[in-house]
Amino acid sequence: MSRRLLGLAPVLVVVLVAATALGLVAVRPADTTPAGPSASTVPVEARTLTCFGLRDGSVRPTVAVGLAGVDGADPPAVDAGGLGLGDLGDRSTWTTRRATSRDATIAAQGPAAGGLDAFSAVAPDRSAGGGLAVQHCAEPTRRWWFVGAASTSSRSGTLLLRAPDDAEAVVDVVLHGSDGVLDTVGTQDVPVAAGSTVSLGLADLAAGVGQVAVEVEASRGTVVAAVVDGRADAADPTGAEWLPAAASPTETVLLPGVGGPGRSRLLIANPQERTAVARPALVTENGRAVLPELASVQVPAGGVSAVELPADVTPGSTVELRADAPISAAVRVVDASGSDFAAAVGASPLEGPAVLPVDLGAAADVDPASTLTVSALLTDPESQTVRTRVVALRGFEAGGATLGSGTLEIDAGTSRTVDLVELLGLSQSEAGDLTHVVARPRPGGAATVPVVAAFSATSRAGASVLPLASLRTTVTAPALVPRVAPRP
Amino acid sequence: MLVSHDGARWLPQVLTALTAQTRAPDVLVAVDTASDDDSADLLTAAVGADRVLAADRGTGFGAAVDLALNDLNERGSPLGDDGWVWLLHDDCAPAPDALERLLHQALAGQPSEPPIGIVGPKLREWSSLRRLLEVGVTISSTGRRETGLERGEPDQGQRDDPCQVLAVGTAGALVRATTWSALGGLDPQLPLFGDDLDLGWRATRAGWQVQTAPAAVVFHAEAASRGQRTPGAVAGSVRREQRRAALFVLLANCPGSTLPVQYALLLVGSVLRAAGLLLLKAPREGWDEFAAAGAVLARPWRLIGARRSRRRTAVEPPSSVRPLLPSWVHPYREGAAAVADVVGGLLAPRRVTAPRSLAEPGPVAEEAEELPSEPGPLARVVARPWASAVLVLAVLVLLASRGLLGGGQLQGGALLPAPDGALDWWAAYTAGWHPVGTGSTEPAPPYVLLLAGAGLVTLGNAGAAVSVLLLGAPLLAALTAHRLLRRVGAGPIASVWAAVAYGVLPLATGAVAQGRLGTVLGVVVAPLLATALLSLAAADTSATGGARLVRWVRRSRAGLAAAGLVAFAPVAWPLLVLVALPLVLAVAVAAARGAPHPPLRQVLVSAVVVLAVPWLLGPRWLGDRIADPWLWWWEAGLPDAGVGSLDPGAVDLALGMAGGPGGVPAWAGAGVLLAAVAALARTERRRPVLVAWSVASLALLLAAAGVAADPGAEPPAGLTTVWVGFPLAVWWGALLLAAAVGAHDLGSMLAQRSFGWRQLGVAAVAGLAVLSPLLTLGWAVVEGVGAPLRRAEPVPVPTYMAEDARTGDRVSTVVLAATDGGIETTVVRGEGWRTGAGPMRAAAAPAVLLGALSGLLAAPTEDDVQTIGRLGVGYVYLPGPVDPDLAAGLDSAPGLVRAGAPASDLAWRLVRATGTVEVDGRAVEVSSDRADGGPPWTASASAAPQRRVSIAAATDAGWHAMVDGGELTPAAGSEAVVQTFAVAAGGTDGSLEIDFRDDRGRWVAAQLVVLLALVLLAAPTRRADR
Repeated sequence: MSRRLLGLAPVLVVVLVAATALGLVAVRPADTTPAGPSASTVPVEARTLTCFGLRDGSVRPTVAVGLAGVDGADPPAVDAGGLGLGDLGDRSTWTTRRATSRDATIAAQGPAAGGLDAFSAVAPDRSAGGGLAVQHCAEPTRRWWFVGAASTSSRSGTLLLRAPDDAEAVVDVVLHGSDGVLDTVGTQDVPVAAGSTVSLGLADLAAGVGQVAVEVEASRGTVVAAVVDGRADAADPTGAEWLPAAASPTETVLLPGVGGPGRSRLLIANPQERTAVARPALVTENGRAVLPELASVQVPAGGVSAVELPADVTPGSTVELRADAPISAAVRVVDASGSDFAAAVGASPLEGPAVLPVDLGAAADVDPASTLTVSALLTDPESQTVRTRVVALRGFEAGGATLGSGTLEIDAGTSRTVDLVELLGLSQSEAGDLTHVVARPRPGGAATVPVVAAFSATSRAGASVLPLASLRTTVTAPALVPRVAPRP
Repeated sequence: MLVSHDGARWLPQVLTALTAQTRAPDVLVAVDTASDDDSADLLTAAVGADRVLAADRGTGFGAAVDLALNDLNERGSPLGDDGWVWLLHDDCAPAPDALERLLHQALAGQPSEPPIGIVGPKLREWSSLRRLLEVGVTISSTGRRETGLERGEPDQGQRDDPCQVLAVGTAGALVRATTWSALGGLDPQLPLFGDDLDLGWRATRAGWQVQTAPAAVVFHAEAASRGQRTPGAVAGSVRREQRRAALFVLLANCPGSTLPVQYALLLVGSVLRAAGLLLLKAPREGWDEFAAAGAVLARPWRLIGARRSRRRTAVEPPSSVRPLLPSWVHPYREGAAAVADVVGGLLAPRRVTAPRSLAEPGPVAEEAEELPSEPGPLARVVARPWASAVLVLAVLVLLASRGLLGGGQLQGGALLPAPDGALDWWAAYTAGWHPVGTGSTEPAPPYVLLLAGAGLVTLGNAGAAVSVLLLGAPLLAALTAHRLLRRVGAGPIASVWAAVAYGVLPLATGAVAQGRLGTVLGVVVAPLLATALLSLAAADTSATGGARLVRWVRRSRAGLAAAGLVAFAPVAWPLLVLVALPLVLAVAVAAARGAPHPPLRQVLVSAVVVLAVPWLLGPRWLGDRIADPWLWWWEAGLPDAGVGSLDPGAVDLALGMAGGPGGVPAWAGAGVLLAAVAALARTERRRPVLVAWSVASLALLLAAAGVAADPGAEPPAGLTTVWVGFPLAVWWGALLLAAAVGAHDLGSMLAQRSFGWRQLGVAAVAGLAVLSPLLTLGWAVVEGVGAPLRRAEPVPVPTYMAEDARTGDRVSTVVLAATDGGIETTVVRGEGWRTGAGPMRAAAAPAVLLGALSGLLAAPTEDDVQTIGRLGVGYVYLPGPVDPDLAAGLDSAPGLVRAGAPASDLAWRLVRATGTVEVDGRAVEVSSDRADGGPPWTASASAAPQRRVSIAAATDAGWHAMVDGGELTPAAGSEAVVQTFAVAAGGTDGSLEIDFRDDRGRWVAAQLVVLLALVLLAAPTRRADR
């Protein structure tokens, strides 16, 4: 018997080895696939911003150039030749100059180039339409959305496209009207030569449309796009205004900076090929309230719908839209006097420092006590937990010295509007020195709650609403996976 | 005429036979060529001193006969016109009636047309008396002496019809005196061999018949041919003289119109034969062959003289001899039959070799043509299960591969397209610097050498070589496995089953579909190694010289098989170590205990040889794997088949599945596993079954280690997931072996027992096991072998980019492809990577290039583009479908402009002129003589003083740059990815030469010499001629 068992020992050994091998695999961690290289974050070391001037050329804009959000870093070399300033160097963190050419380009090179930001402002006199038009000078990118333009005989927009100085671009322009996508000619494969500006009058593309959304997509290269909306008839007193670029279509859109005296019209664009249903709500300091008269808005496929907001909307409110398909939206506000209008557009969530331009030059003469509207999205309406975002603000004078600071707490599902001077605790004299404010959402806590903001610049000439756009100080460098041969 | 030369051993019987003749010769004259033995005395005693003539030791047979005839003439008794000369050797004993029957045959046919000039007896073997040696002879177009007889064919009267032949042997031949004198006797240039063929050929051309007289029997010892004495008329070796004579006879007598062709064929044939003999470890015979050819072919004046003398006696046209010569294809048919025998041996190793078609020395008898024919080919195939299985397997594999036949190159998964020709493999193997990716100085992997060898078989068609190896692997693996199975004693049916099950393994595991060339060829080679190791284990362990030689021969075979295996699937090397260690340990323990065991020293030497020979092929290549163990898993081809995470589970592993697409459902192999487990229960077969299980378990352990281990954060380039297909194939193959060995004689064992659960259980397991390969084959035929393997055109970039890499600036192209795991980045030079085209590990995109590209895609700056250009990149290419954001980023990058690309793709060109070679930061056009555009390069360039020449290649001491013949010195502080040379003060305005020089060529030459020596040692030893 023992001899037989002894004979079985080698069998047991080999079976045991095989079983051990299988056991090794069975108990291993779930996935042992080696992680490939991951994307990394690198500072932006080059930035080029483009500021457009009004097309009639009667008034040169004032351009304000500033550096922000790059504390401690060596200031970049800024080339603002287009402004007639030469190399700004590190002379100042905030400079305003009257542009010497219609379109100006400001370029920065260096480790802190991502902190470059610029705005242009123009306050034409009454004969030229009047009002205050403020524009956020932008970087070239592939896609642009503008909601709230028109191509009627009384009011018509102009689309401006500019390619970077060293690369030509080709763009497709799609116009959305109230009934759907407008039939246009010459809007596909529009060439934009390197360093040049192409101007497309919307009335020339599709005349007589009261509500137009403009969609721009570069099929080659990148462009800076802007739409200037203004009077087409001297009898119309509503002035000229830059339509701020709206965030790309999403299913939830927040439009901060709505309300106040005057008419407010909500415009919703639907780029989808099916009808979208949007449910507007008004977000105020007290919370989120569905507008009874606007329970839902149907937006035709590829079209734009316009609805009037109630007249009693609290100034500094935020309109929230939740839709069953990605949409883009704007609120067009005509002030009580009817002399100026402003457009609040769907804003992108703040993810970094954003600049509020207070000093836009003597012509614009923006009131330091202009307001900032901040709204936090209620991501989970069913939740009873109050989630609060904190936004820190610091006010600076032209030399970069801090004049004052403050924080703003916003609960999810609410919107707050604050007076900058008050929030920063500035005296009258300090308020006069205030050139720009940097708003920065604080991380931690409820950091996943999206927060949007808009700066309502007011002056004697009129008002402009600027959605706050985060400065892109860093960029995600894609993970490159080296392969010895391309995948077939 | 009896000629004697050291023939005392045979003369007594010869002389006795002569005296016993029923028709005694009228006159008997003997010639002794100064024999060292008692030959002269024996002759004198038998025929009288006055009839024995003495001649020099170096006198040839013909000269001796002439001496005797002259003596007769001088004595005044010349032969008349009707006289006959009977030629006798001292080692041929005629039967008592031999002369009578010869004369009868010579005279009975008279008068005939043409008249009979020579009559030859039937020669039988001296020793056996029964075996036939010759009944007439002829000569083939390669110079082989053809008798038309089987070796050792017994005389049963089957050759007893007299007939006309080309020639008869001189032993016992009866020659008409007038014929002899007219032809001048035997040619003195043929003193001992070939003289009979020459005489017959000349006689036929001169208008005489050469006839056989089979009724006359002469027993011949063939003493000279068999090495039983040293012929004095031949200075060198007998073999050399035989071959020289054969070549001389052919070239002296063949028609003038065929002489050039015949000459060329013999020249080439002699070289090939000499090489073949060398390969068969017969260097002396090889030298004889070579020397014999030289002696004839290099002395054309002798041939001219010989042909002139033959023209003088010839009256019949050359065509008169043609019916007496075998067909010119006959020797080649014989060669083909020999190859068929080898293949037949693979198909049915125990089959008796089929009789070859024979070249009859004379016309074929009518009766022979009416013999019943053999069974038809189909009947023969059906009667042989293994041959039938091979045929069916071949057809099914072809059907399964139907989607992969046609134009383009096989590629996909881990398989790269084949290069344009097999010469590219040779070039890649010998080159020191490879124009692949950003350039690489890493030696080519060893499997390139083997592929280059395979390319020779396909006449340089690399694509065909890869197709045959990959798609034909199931058949090849089944063949090698079957040979192993028969060797280990598995039954015929079990061997067929296990071989087919093993053969379909590359299909079942998806190795073919995933383009895993390494695993597929590893599966083919592994049984060869196992067979060689078994043979080595069975070798005689004695210390005799012969046994020692046999052991070294078998060690060489095992070492070479191991080298081939490791070249294709390097993980086989650690597996061999895993197997060798316990084996050596077990022998050492047995030695310590005094148990029976093979000599430990011999086992150790064998283990070292098997493990060391693979290092001959690629020492650095294997060294890299020792340094970075993850590289063991990088087989021939790409490290990653691009099929995502493989991640096989424990059940998959147990059933031989390594993961990925293209495999059969794992459960299909359950029957094999059951059968292998059941084999452990066979106590009487336990030893071989346990050995198989031991190897299987170790292979499984290795596979499990590969799957379970974590490559960490920085795996080797491209190796994102481990493919354990090869060790699993060993696991599965060993299980099949265990099952097949365990099944031997199972039927008869069960038959002896009463019917019960055992029979039922065995039937169930056997049924499931048999089902396994059938399911796999059925699945493969229905589904077809496909993705990711496909057949397509091989160039991964637009043609002009490929051309720019070979000519002009020689810029490379960066190919970017957005995937879920990131942006895959490849540097493509020329037509891109090809199978085995070069080493891959060092040529993946370097970190500095990846950094610049990453910056380019994120926030492009001029510096990024400059860096990319400095590395020799001229284009950035995005194959479709293009990620628009990626494209926009590149569009906006300064220094990049759009370039032409196919409709669905996008491409950019660097505005700055870039090139592989730059002088003072400016690209220069260089020219190269190499097909792949690699160095040496020459250019016409000017450089300012104190400036630089840079090469977009990793710094290496092998780079050399010369301006106007003056060597430049490498610049200090240059980047690791750019080789820079400083231009001496004064500048230059002349020719620039750049070359990469290292010792790769010398190393490859030494390597090939050692390998050739090993191959020669491992080649089968030639059996000595009879």
